[in-house]
Amino acid sequence: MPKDPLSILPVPMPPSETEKQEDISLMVAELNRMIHEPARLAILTVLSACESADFTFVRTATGLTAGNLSVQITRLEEAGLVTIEKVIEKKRPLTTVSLTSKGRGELSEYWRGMEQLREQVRMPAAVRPKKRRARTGALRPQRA
Amino acid sequence: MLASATCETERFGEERLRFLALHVHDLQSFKWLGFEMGLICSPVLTLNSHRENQWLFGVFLLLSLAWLFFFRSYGRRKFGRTRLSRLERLRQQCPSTLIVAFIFLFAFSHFISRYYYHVRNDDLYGGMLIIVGFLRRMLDTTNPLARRGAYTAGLAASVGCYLWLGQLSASPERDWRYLLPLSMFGVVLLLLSSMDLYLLYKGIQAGECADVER
Repeated sequence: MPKDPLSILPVPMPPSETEKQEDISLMVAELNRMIHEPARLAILTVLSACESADFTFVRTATGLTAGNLSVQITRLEEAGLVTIEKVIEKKRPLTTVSLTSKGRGELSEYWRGMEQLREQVRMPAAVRPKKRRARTGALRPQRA
Repeated sequence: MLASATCETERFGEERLRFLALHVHDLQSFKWLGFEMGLICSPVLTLNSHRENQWLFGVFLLLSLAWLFFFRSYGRRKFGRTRLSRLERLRQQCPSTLIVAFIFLFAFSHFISRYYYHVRNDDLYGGMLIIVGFLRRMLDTTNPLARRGAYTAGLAASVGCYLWLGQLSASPERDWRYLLPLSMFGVVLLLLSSMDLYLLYKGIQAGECADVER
């Protein structure tokens, strides 16, 4: 009979590299696809720093073409993340875009997810907690 | 590795975009070029009160105003506009650190400078306003380190120049030596506004490069 009765139990092995990759893939899949697209993320980041910005500023800061920007902003508006306001100022049309409270919340949630992902990538596999969908309650992947 | 790199890149882009959105108006200080040139040329413009000089002063002022309005409208067309939240405006304009700094400067100027450096009152209050204006940018953590460092160096150069050259001529008469620190201050402001404009263009160019990568 062995001295230590626990020694007959199987020794827990650290998570393998494949499991590590699976966890990261799962976290990436859980990111909000509407926000994760680079052009839309840039637009939302600009808008999160201010109350509202005009179309020219968003185009200049993000470096997007007017056509692309227009399409992306319309998509964000349809998702309820931004609001578009069009006014006539000195006989010229002025389009201003602002972030909704829903957009602000989802953007901060997205950044939180990215931070967790970064920590997960940097952490050694042996000490990394196993990622479970049911526990985190994170958003499921959405269609862009 | 790829996920980590993506996070880092996005964080860098986020900082750049946030900085541009918060400081797009602030970075267009090149619109004050006329007044900065006025400060640089102040020994020539105000040395004597001949009629020609008064005309020159008037023309200079008009040109400065014209440049201000031209550059402001150019900036709106070229860079666009943002509206900051009330809280953000308050944070930028009047952080609590500035109030503390103002109190400290007030005490310093009244109880020390008056006896040791013989500073005149109008110089004192004007100087304090300038220092508070510089501190606003130096203490703002949303500014990149390069900008904060440049403003610190600018303030040190201006104050140092005043203390050094001001000693040469403490008389209230407005001679060229008395106005030299003012010229130096104009040069500092001109350099800083040029750097701000460079930062603005650099920030925009980085956005254009990012779009090509997309």
